[in-house]
Amino acid sequence: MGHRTKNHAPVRSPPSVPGLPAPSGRTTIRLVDVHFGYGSRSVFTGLDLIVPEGQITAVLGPSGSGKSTLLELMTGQKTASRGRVEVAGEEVGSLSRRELFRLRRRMGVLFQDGALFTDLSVFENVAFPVREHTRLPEMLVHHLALMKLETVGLRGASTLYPAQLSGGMARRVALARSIVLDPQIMFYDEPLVGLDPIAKGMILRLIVHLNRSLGITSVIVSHDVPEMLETADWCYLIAEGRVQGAGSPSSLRQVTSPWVRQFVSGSAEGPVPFHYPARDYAADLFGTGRSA
Amino acid sequence: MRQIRSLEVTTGLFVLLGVAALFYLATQTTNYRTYGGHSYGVKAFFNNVGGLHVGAPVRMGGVTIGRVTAIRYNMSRYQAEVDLIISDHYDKIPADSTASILTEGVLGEQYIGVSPGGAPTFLHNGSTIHFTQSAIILENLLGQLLTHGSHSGK
Amino acid sequence: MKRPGALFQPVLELLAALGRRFHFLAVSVTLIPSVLGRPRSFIEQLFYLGSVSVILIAVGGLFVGLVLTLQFYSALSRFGATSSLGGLVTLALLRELGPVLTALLFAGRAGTSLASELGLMRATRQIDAMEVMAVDPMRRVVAPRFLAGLLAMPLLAGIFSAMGVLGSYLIGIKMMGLDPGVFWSSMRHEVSFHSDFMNGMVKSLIFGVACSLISLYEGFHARPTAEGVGRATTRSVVISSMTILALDFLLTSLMF
Repeated sequence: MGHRTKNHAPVRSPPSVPGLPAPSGRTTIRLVDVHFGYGSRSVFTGLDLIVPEGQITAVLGPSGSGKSTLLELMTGQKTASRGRVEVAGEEVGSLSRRELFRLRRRMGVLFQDGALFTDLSVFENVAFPVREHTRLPEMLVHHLALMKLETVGLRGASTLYPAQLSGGMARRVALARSIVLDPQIMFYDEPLVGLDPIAKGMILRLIVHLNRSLGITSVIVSHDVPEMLETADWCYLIAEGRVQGAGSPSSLRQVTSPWVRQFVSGSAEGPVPFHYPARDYAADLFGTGRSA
Repeated sequence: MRQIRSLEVTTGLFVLLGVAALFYLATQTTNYRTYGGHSYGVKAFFNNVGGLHVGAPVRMGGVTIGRVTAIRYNMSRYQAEVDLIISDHYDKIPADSTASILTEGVLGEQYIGVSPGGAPTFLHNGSTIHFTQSAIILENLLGQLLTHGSHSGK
Repeated sequence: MKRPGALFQPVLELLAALGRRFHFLAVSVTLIPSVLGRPRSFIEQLFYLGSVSVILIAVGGLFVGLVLTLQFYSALSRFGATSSLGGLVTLALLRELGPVLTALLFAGRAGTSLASELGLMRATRQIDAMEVMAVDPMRRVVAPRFLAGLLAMPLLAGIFSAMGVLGSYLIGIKMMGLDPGVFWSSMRHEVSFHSDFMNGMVKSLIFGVACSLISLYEGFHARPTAEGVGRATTRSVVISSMTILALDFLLTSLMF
């Protein structure tokens, strides 16, 4: 793990906006020309993206840009209507359920609100994947779960129930649960949303710690731009169904694209319109326009 | 752990209660008992079974000793053929006993009443009751009564 | 503007909805063996679906028995046939009221709790979390609840009918002063084990399958929002109740 071959030629550079840079290093996840939509509403129209092995990749984008859908495509919960989604060398969309489940055992997912099992205690939540997937003796299950809880600093809370935890604690327990079987890839869905600054700092520290010490390939989907620019090794900006910008955090700060500049600096003025697309204002007011 | 124990105990109680209720209903409120147990089967032929139906009781001196298990029409004898089962407790019914189709009350259920004969041999599995009395059909009875009445009136 | 195919759209959608439910049923049934290998969660569900409904069912059965006896008594006494009271009440309970009312109460008590529980698991993404942990939620969540539901139903119906008979005994003998011998023997004469008792059991089992399936399906496929959970819960009661009554008619006419 963690061999970051410098200057290794990327297999394919993200081409959606010509000239976008590609990350260096071996590829763990690759999306090629991915199309996806809910009914008539299309979310992705030709998305290309590469996640390098052993690094932290952040996918940034405004709310509603389909960031969570992107994760669901990578974990195989949703299937692209066109294009390829490759994870660890396997094409997710073409796997059988059994094969998909085998692949998923190498993944961990941290959901936005933790998604802890409300009828199980903290300890049982963390032990759940171990009990489901292995036949380890009770003592080993116990050790394993407590070790992971210690990693997130919540060994003392093991007898509590999810309803008794704060938002930040719940997310840390969920993190312990998702790493209990030592995944090779971690997905974080909006890991910072709704947390106070202290809890944010703790989660970020854990993400970095897991990546640096265990070499877990990490994909974070978020709209917390400043935090991500500090944490990630590589960033993608997505909007309107495509990758709009890519690069290392330092390079993104200097990008000239007006859209990227607006997003990174978080200003209300720029190419992203304040108004939702609408008919002509006067026509709407006076009802003289054609009926839709 | 204590919580789990009480959950298991309560669940066990529930299952026990449910099974007990079903067992009670099946054995105490239905004819289950007279179908089961040891019994022997006999046959009887009637000219007319009236409203007799399968499951009707077979009684001797008002005591239920068995049950009707099948009713069909016998095309070689041109009579209704009725299968009965009688509990093994009553294995000394004289072979020349009479079976009649009787009615409980005026409009009640029909049943088979057995009145004992005097023969030294007894009914056994597969034997036939030779002396039978068919059901009294109310319409026929009324009809007879009416024609009789008009005759005497003349 | 409408294409000619649009006319058939509602029919196709209805068929698809039915198909999805039967697929759900088929998957649940095939997963039953896996539940037996993990009795722990099954026992837990039997508790939540069965044990907690016992009081409701028992009280319901008792009152139905009381009312039924009063009504039948007043009707039968006009024909001077009060000797058949016991049999008549038991027949009504075993064949019809026991299975149907139990199923309706079950849909309201246990069915809603199933639908809202699964809906909540959907809304809080617990089901998704299982999915990505490579744990099949159909196997882990749905199957044990399905089996528990379909087994709890006949047991509850038994408790209901037995309590109904007790209620009938209280009114008929303790209040109306009927002869207990006549009362009990009329049951044994009129009620057949094969055609009446088993008839009710078959109904109950089928209602158990329908009720659990509908509640689980609605909860499992709830929209992952607070509103979605509420809707799923309501739908589970409405659809279950209608299905029970329709199935009751169908089964009664089939086993008549």
